Amino acid sequence: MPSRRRVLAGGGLGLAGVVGSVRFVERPIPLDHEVESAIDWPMPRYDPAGTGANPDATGPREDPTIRWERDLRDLQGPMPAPPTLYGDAVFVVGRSSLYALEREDGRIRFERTGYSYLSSPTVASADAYRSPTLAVRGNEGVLGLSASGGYALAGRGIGLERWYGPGEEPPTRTFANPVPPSPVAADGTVYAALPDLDRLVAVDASSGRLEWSYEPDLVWPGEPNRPAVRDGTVYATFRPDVVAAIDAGTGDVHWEIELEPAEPEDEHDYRELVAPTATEAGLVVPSRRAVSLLDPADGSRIWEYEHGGRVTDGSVAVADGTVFAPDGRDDLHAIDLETGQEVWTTEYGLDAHPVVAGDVIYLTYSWLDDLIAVDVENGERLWEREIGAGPSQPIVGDGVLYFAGHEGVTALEDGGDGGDGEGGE
Amino acid sequence: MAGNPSPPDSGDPNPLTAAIGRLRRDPSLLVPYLAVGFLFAVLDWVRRRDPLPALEFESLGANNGISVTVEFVGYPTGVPQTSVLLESFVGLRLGYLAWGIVSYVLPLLAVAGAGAYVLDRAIGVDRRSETDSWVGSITPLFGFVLAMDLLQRLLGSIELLQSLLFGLLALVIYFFVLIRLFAVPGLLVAGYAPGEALRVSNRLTHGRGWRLFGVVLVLGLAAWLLASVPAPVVGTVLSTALVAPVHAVAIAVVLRPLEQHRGR
Repeated sequence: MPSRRRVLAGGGLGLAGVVGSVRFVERPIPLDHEVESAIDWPMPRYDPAGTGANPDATGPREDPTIRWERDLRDLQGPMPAPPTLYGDAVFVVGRSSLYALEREDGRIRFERTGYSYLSSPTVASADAYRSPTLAVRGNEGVLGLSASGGYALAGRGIGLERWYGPGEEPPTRTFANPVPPSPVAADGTVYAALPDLDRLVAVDASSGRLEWSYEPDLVWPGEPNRPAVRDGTVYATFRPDVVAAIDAGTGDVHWEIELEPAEPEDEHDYRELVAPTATEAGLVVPSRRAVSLLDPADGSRIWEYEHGGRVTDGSVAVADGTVFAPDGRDDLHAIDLETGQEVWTTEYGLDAHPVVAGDVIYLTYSWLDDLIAVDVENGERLWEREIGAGPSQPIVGDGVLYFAGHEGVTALEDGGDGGDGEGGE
Repeated sequence: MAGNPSPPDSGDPNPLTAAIGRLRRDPSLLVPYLAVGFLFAVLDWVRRRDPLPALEFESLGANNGISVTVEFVGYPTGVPQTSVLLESFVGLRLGYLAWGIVSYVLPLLAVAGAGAYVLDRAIGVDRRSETDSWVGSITPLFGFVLAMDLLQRLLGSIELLQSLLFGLLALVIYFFVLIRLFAVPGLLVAGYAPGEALRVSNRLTHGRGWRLFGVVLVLGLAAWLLASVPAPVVGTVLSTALVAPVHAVAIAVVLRPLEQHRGR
């Protein structure tokens, strides 16, 4: 009856996995989400809105020490994708594998081989399953993986991959560093920008079934950035200058606009939009030389902050009414979310994805080896630390900052006894 | 129950034309598979709405129309538009796991039931008693259907076989084995033990390989084309209601030398 590849995949062995009666099987490891004081960072940029800020999280405020380091052979920088923090586990994707580490000490919970995992994992609730789905971008689609890791039998994962969507997975295998954009998850649905197809798709986190797909009608198809989801609306930006608001449930397009260039008289001037952030005040849309706030009702511009930089990557963080935007050339800008006025600027001339935890902004740049902490109040640099080349953007939990680097994952915490923690494998 | 059939003679009828002729004379043999087709359609409807992953049928227009599929799996059946992914059962909550198993087993059971009835009538099995009815052959036929399904899934899970070179070699062997097993469903319904059915089928199909390869190809392509009809329910019902009975009666035609041998 079933005769095609993905039906076949894992068939007989999969049944053995379901029964769980095969010897020498690595079993799934249930997630404990009741960990005391566990603070999650379930997707890159923290939440569906893409704020990059968790008001409940705290990271190191003073020069940190290493809590743990874990060498992972499959992580090869630069530009590793950031880890994901959920329950008692830290998840990270390598060139051909998925790792789950113990949040407390970095021990490997499981390592599963897989192919074409091309982004960071995003935790998505999946009603039909006992553990969440980890959504990763694959070739021309999204893969839904088990956060418990499924079984492993003689090195072969069984039950790790729950689904691929939309459609059938292409036979191509890609060995590559995972990179943005990562999927976004909200209310059991995964929203993924697919650069291969210049398209945004929504798939069910349990079944992988396509709920809707969106391509802009305007201009030529451009590469989509990570979408932002808030209050039942998905906000998408496509390079060079398309912004759209789409109903998260139905896929109906509320509005779609081209953001006019900063210098309209220059026919070669484009916005070069990067990933947006959805806030209570409106949609924050960073672009090469400016940050704009758009009205979520119709996409009209509320304010625009011209920093004159040259942003080609990166994103903004939004916390407590302030937008933190690197300009990619000179400075990191703090902008009042309501008025669009400058609050402060501080020297930081790199494209980055700032994250905010408590009253600290953390910054890394994928081609350099610095991790920098900045005070949210005044932009004062609190500390900086050399962490090895090619770090991911950081994520922050309860007092601990995590990042993936060239050869593994590191957890930093506020310096106490001055020890440099436990070494990796 | 053992047989020692003679090699096919030149008067050996074409299984397809003979099967179609028999179905024209006795169209009631279409009814069980028509019911299975509707069951498939209902399951397709449910699977497209439940929260379990399912694979969609790859129709004629898929992959820019360049992919051709021979939908032949070794026993009479149709082509549903969705299939369950067993690997995705791992980690399901108990209720969904139970539904997943039902969703997987129910169509196989229905196919076995319809197959047992149609084959029984097409072969004209001589039952020893009233209680020894076609219903008793559902279990061994279901075992065969389940085994074939799991075998095919297992083969598909071997990465090496997905490559072009090894894949082609595997495909040749796969078709060879399917042809040798062509008569097994009928033999199981006729009361042969599974091991004996395999041996007798191997003997019965010896010397008929190319003809049966043609039968497999025609049935497989017809099932795929009918299943590709771009209308809800229609493709599934047509592929099941038309192709599966022809396949079942064709098996009965292949078994005729055996029946003649037993009659002598």
